[in-house]
Amino acid sequence: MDTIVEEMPLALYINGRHVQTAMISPSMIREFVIGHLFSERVVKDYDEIESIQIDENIAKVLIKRSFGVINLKKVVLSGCGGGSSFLDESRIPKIDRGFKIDPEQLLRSMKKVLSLDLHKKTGGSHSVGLFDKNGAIVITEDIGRHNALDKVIGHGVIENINFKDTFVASSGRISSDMILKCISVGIPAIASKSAVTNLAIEIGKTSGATIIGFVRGGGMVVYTGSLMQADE
Amino acid sequence: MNLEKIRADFPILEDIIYLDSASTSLTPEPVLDAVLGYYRSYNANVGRGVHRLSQIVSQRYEDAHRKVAAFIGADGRGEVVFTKNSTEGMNLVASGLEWRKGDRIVTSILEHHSNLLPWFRLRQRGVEVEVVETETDGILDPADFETAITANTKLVALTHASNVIGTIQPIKEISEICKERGALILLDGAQSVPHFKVDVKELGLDFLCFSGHKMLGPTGTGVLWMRNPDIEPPFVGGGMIKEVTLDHYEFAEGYERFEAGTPNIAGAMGLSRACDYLTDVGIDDLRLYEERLTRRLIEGLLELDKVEVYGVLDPGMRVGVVSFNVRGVNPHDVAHLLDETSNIMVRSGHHCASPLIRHLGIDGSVRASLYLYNTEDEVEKFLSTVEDISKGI
Repeated sequence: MDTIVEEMPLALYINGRHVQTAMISPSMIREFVIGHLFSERVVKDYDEIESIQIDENIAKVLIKRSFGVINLKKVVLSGCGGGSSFLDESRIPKIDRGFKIDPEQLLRSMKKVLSLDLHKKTGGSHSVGLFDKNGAIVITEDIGRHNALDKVIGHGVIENINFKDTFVASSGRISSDMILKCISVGIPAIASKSAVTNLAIEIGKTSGATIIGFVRGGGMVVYTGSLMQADE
Repeated sequence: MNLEKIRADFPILEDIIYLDSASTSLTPEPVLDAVLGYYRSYNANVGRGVHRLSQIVSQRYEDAHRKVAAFIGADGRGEVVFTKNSTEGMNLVASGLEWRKGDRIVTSILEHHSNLLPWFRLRQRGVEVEVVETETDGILDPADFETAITANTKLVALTHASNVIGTIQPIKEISEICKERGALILLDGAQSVPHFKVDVKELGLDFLCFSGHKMLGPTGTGVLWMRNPDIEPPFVGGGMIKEVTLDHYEFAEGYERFEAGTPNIAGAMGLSRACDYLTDVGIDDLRLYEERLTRRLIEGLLELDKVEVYGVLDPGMRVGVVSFNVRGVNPHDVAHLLDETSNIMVRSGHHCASPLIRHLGIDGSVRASLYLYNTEDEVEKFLSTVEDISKGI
């Protein structure tokens, strides 16, 4: 029998209000919630999250700030192809341009990301990994590439990873919201097996982040930023 | 431990020396903020509404239970039920367990009335209560429990630290005997949980009762932890049911089953904050600090001619609860003079433990009890005042 991809709705409540229902793969739910809060800039510091209760399809989050003033409109959440929360150039976070990826390591990392079981078996999921110079910190997969990215970010937050020394490798295309999620937490580089959108490149240039597409067959296309040279 | 910072959280200490924490502790500003924060920012009932405030308060109320559970090493283990004090905890167990004629309860001479009367009352139902005694050091001998705990013994109910003489009891040894004999063990942690690390798993407990108001929490807060919460709930009604029809009702699971009606929500928020406060200070550091103060307090009292101190003297074997008498002076008069002359608050009398007071061969005692906000200077001031009293100055 074919392996069927699992999908579940997760209703996210922040300070008692329903802000979004996400369709996600049923794994790393806590990581997803935390990563989502960070990548959508609802919080900047782990300490701002007072409480997370996950009960089947509901995730209830309490954020430490006046309960009266959480404005739903301020918590705009990105969706696949749905545009991003903020494209005001002045609000795009800036990344230190010094970060460079070793191309050999990137090729190895992408191979690891693409070797996950579900991705291979079903072709119906996206996989995303978070790496530093020592290798994989976490690799996960989800029916949505944004979700998978949120999960690895959430894992990084929980493990207190310094994102400025990391990069993301993804099976799915890099759109504006994917790069925005990365730079929101300070991840300086993202690479994909597939394509990169024009808006993502624009954001990459503005922010200083490195964007690399079509990492496959031993090659890659560097859209913004630069690779580590052999003598570096 | 940053004593200066701690004392700044207790502005009441500017005017008095408080040596009555075994009775009820003072309440630090962050705990007061947590209590008022509820009323000011998210005042709503728990578990009953879909509106935003109700959701927020329900989550925080549930989190408060988890926080308290973690504080006593009970994460994901058993059930933490909020009560109004330790006394209510003992009574819940006494009324909730199923008792048969001939069942036995073993307790000790060291107990507070609240860990005696709920069991004594069960004598009306044919339950036998045996009271194990101690030598004058005030420490129970586990060997006595080898004989006291019989096949009919359903429950052993003991204090962890005496509320009169502060002595810490060998609970782990006794709980092992309980396990061998198939008896349940209930611990009165009112004087221990606030002062040193108490771990329900390590001690092998079945029930733990303690008071929030003795550990920097608000009055009207207490905890009953149950390893296996299969006792009959004491009250039925609102908030504790899953389903009700005219001829059927089903209780809710979890702590809600035992918390009928609207609970002390603000108190729970304060208690939760108190746990954080103690964790932030560091419960092990707090214990070492109190041991040091206790050592000086006992040594200082022993230097005085007319003063006698009760229970074991080694501060490593007791908490900072010190009972003493000045020969020839009524304990109430000593307490009165301490307040009158030096603004020092202590307790005097039988300390809700009359059988122990009688066992010690006295009519009452003066009790000085310490906590994290007390200082060496305060102890010296206390000692010099007691010296003056003993010399009739």
